[in-house]
Amino acid sequence: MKRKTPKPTVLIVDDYPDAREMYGEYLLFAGFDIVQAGNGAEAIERALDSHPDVILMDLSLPIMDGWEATRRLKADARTVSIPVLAVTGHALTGISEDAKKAGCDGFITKPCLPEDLVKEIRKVLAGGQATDPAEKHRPSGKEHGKVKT
Amino acid sequence: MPVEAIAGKILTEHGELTAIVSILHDRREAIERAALYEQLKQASDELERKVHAATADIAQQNELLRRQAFELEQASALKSQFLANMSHEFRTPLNAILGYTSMLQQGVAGPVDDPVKRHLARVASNGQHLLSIINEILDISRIEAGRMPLQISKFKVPDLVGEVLAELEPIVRRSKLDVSTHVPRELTPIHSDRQKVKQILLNLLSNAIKFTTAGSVSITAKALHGPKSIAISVTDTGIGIAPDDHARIFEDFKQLDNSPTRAYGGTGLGLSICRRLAEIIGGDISVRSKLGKGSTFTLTLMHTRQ
Repeated sequence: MKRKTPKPTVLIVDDYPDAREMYGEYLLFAGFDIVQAGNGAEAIERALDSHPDVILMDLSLPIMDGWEATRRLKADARTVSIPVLAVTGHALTGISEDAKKAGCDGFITKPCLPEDLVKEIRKVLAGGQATDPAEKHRPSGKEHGKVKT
Repeated sequence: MPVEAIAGKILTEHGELTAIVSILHDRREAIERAALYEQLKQASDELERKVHAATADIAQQNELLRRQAFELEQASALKSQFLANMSHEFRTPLNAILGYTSMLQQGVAGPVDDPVKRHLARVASNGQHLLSIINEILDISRIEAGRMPLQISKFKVPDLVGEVLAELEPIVRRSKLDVSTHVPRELTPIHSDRQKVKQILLNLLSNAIKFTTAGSVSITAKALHGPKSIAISVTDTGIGIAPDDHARIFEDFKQLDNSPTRAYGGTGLGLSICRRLAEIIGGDISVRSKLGKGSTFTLTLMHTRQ
């Protein structure tokens, strides 16, 4: 994949190695650079030392969960401008609202196919708003007041 | 014979006794009455005791029922929480299964032969099917937990029907059925919960396609005059439903054929979800059907203001 600009860096935060590595491998394939973290505390460290362009944040994490990590990232002047996309297997009402409250810029429900995730990342990098690709398959899931598709 | 006697003297002006009058009164009746009264009193006391006992009993049973209702509520909340947790636990591995399958199909790990691609397509479609089952189960638990709030907006039914058709386009194409819509553009826009109406229609239409092997499926919408302002029907020429089964199909986990060899997949939750969603938005779903001839499911809606 040809890109004129340097490759955007994506920080993938997930405690489930299969998910982290899968998205990692696909993002590399799709022309991104990747950094990985297995919990919220590590996510903050990686955000500070590698300045990613976007962060994919799982919410249920050991040590420090994704909500808390996002709150801290959004409270820190050094990381506040990095878009955070919540990527979670939780599909209940309230979860997405809590994620927005914590400062997440978008919300994606797992399962999310790698190619759909890349579309959302590109949208966010272009300055747009992410829409949960799972909406397509979950017509009832429109609870977080998202953009119409 | 029990007798009561009253005797009186009759005296002259000078106080001389002229006569003695005795009145003899037969006491039998009075005694009998007294005995009867005693019996009656005993019976009444007994009755009062019984009423007291019954009242206490009822109070106790009420208390028991209250406690049971509370316990049931708690059990139901626990069940919903459990289902929500299970849904998360299912999604995590399913995410990896669907994701890696898609990556293999795209050749991320290297070129893939056609037969392998065909197998991968099967893995993907079965994974998606499993996901839809998990979503249905989660929907039921959300509805039961009251976590499906109304989101009212104004929308046009023809647009919504168009969206539903577009989303089911792959299934429609595979079915080779004649799928048509009769939805007048000039229908007045409706105030309702767009997503819930859409979910109901998606479900009714995919059911119609699933249970129809040949013939046609049509979606019809028309304005109503009454409290319900619009009716949307999905009609098919499929297997149909016997009259006795018309109510049962809306129950949880009820597919009419529940045998291990049943011909149609699914959780049996779809129509139950539809009915509950319809209730939430103040609508109604009815069915008209003839075994072997086909079915018509009609969703009636009213304008809902939040």
